[in-house]
Amino acid sequence: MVQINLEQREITIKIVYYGPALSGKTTNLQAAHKILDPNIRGRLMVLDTSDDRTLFFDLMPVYFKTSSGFTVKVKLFTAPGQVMHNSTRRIVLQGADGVVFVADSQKSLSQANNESWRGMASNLKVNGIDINEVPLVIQFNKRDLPEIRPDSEIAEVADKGKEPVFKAVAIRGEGVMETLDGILRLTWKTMNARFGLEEKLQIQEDAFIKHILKDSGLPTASRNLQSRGDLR
Amino acid sequence: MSRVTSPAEDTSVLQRRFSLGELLDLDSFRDVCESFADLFQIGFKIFDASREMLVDMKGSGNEFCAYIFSQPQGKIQCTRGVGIIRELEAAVGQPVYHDCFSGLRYLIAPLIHEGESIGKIVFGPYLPAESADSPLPALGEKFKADIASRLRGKARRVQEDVVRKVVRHLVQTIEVMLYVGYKNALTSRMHVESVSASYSELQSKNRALQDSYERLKELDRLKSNFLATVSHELRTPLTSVIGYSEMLLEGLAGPMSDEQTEYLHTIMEKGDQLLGIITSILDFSKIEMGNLRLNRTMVNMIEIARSAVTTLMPIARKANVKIEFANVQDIPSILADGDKIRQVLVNLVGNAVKFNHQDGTVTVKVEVCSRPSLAAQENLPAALARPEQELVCISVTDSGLGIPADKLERIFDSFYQVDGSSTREHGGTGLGLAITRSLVEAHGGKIDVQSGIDQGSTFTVLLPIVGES
Repeated sequence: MVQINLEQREITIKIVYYGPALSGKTTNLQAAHKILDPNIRGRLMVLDTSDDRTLFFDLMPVYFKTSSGFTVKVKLFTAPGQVMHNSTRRIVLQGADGVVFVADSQKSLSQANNESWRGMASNLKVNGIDINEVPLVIQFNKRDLPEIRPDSEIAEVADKGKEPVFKAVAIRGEGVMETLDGILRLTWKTMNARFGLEEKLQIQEDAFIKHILKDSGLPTASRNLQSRGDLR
Repeated sequence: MSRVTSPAEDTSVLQRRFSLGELLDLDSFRDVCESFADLFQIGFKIFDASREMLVDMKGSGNEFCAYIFSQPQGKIQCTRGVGIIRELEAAVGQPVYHDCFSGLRYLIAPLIHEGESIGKIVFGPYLPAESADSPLPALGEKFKADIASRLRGKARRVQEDVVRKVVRHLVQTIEVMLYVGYKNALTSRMHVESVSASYSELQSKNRALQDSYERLKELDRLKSNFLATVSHELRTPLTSVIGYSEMLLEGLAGPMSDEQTEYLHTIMEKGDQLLGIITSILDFSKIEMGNLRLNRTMVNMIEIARSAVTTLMPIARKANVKIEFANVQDIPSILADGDKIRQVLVNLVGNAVKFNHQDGTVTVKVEVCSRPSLAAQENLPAALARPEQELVCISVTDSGLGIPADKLERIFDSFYQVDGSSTREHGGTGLGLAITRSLVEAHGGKIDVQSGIDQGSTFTVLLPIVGES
């Protein structure tokens, strides 16, 4: 749930990275942490177990001030992927303004992707979030591994669904910023249509993206989100 | 989805704003500040975002400030200066200075958490090394310039770039502590939320299970009622069938041909079998409904066992199974319901014959044995268990099929049969062992079984030796 605090001139947006266990949600945040300008992002908070499995969530805040004096905070969270942490996943999803579904490209894990997607749909519903309304992008991660779903298949399923689809090798940072760009634009568009953020913050979509992705090597001009997917 | 929030309002677990004081363990934080002030000999104050002072460390300029503050005019100017400092806000990376009327200086730097100011450090007072000492202010007749000058000289004189480095170090130290505090706060909140969510889920599942258990219990009660009623209703006409067959056999309705007599014997035999089954169901219903009554008298177990064996001899002979009765010692009489114990043994020996091989053997043994007290075998450590007690042990051993290990626990369940298929070789209701166990337990006894595939089975009934006293 986007928080707009007019008194403190502050807006807080929550993005959640969701997906099956070991699909690379934390790796996405770690890569984004490396790439983003240290002046606009905070420390990466990783709450994991001794074997590097996410216990509660990871959190990286991104923040900047608009020329109109509004503080914009984007909080990037990951949800724990292990099956046993479902109640934690549900809590992390509370009030999400946008969701990145990180799917594992390996063919053998298609079933795990589908189960995680269904779990996400159910958890969103419990939190009062309509999966058809919430900004949502899909990232097929681990494109560097053997035995993965081929590009042609990804492109084909992407065309069928309404969610933008991105390909990534998060461990090398590839596709991470494109995915972040995708979810930020979609979230901004959705929130702007609903709450007139451009008017409140006096900032356009491109400027909003530029504040966050300025040195990440991505073109920050308005782009059409390319592909579509159908994991359901 | 959007809401306009007031600054202090909580929205969700992970989006709550924390104040500086909430993120720091103030007692240990003050210890750190104290050693810091001690190291650099310069005092400092820390305010939170609502301008409340959390830390006030004295440094080398303290004596001078105390002297100035003791002068009425000094007090007025000091208070004004503190007011100005409280209001000063510095931007990130751009600390601001405040020059005190007394010639000392303060540096004000913000404390940043997640990109926004969560408080500030007011570092000082110190004497700036780069500039010459300004003249002391005139603070009235009682003000002694020489004392003031001596005390001001005690304040640490320090270069601006050193002050900046020291403050940057202090800010970074505090920001790390804030980060750790924030991490701990989120972790503990998340932990509480997760546990509470899991607890709620478990509770609702438990409620559903409890409801389902209550429904099943009610159904079970209805089933027992139904069985009791139906069995009773079946028995009445069956008694007539058997009775009239007996009358026919006795020739009360005139002479019968050999063939007719043979048919009538079959009707009688099957009728008796059916009566046995119905009686079992009735017994079981009584036990389940808690209506089992024992008619206890002093009975001799050897006699009862022998009688049970005698009853089953014809069936054993027919099945080509040999029953051996091994009784090597005298057994004291015990207080028990002889009919019920006889029923137990008929069940066990009957099963042993039924599930045996052709030319197999059934051995019935009655003896006195020592076992740990029956009442004490409830997961107690050896030290707490009651000593061994003497029991009457009646064992029935067969040389038959044996029971698979994974089925052993279930054989005493009602209606359970190891071979539950519709084509099973042996008949029965699956109630025999359930009734047997209930009857033994009603005597304060216990029934054990040892078995293995193709190793035969041994059922042992353990009964406490209870006299009339």
